[in-house]
Amino acid sequence: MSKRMRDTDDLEVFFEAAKSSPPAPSSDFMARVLSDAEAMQPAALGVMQSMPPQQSSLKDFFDALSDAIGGWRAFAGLATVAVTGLWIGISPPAGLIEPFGSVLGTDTSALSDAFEYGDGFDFTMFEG
Amino acid sequence: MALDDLSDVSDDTLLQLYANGDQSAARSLTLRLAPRAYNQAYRMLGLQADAEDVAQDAMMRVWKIAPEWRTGEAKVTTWLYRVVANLCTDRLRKARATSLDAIDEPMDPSPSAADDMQTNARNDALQAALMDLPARQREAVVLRHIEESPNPQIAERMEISVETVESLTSRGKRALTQILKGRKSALGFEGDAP
Repeated sequence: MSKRMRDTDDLEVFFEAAKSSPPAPSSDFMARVLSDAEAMQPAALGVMQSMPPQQSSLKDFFDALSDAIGGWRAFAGLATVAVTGLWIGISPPAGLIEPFGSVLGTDTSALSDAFEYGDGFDFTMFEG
Repeated sequence: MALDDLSDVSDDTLLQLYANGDQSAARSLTLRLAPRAYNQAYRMLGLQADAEDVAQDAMMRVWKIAPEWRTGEAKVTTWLYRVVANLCTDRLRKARATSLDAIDEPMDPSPSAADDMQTNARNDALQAALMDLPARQREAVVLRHIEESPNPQIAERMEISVETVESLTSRGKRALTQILKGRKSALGFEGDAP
């Protein structure tokens, strides 16, 4: 029993020696490992995305315009106003002409005179 | 200057940072894991040059797997331990195949260690004796008695049962005792024992 204990104690002395002086890697080895690490490291995300995909200049233009005027709702409003204006210009409601008529007389030629449209212009030219 | 500025960061997180291009993570992982891999390889192989080759190879695998590493599935150190162990086993197998004499011959303590400090002499003698053990016994003894890992952790790392760990360490210690007995006088043990 005592012999066995002594053997164990002896072995412990060796283990203690091993724990107190672990094998140390050389600085060359550490430098090589770090060099590998840097060589194999994926590039940072910011560097990889330094070249964004190209967009067409027309799309850029409309995107910029849309941003400037407030998005697609503004485009829809603009389109409605344009169509309404065109329709009024082509076929004005009677109520729109009458006030001018009452001021300038029943003869619509007076209206054209007032706005210097010329002799050949007549609102009725555009009607059906 | 702190050698490891990210000492509080987990290994998993460091791997993620490394994969995202963080250069300080590369440095921290190297400082943290490379000595560990080298230490294990040296205990298994007994030669500095071989241990450095294996440890560098194992670390290369760390760098390669970093972008695919799944946090929380396994411990980085456990995974690295298995990589180093497998690389050492392969190397020992190849060495045995090419030269039976080389693997059977125990290492001599280095002359400088024998001259300088008794501790170094004992350390070298232990390493030489460890090299005489079968690889699995050596691995278990190093983990249990030098790394001081608990048996369940050793079982996990070596992928064996706790009972097998106990058996390996017990047989390993008996064999080490026999091997080292013959070197007591050279290591200054004559006056130590009562």
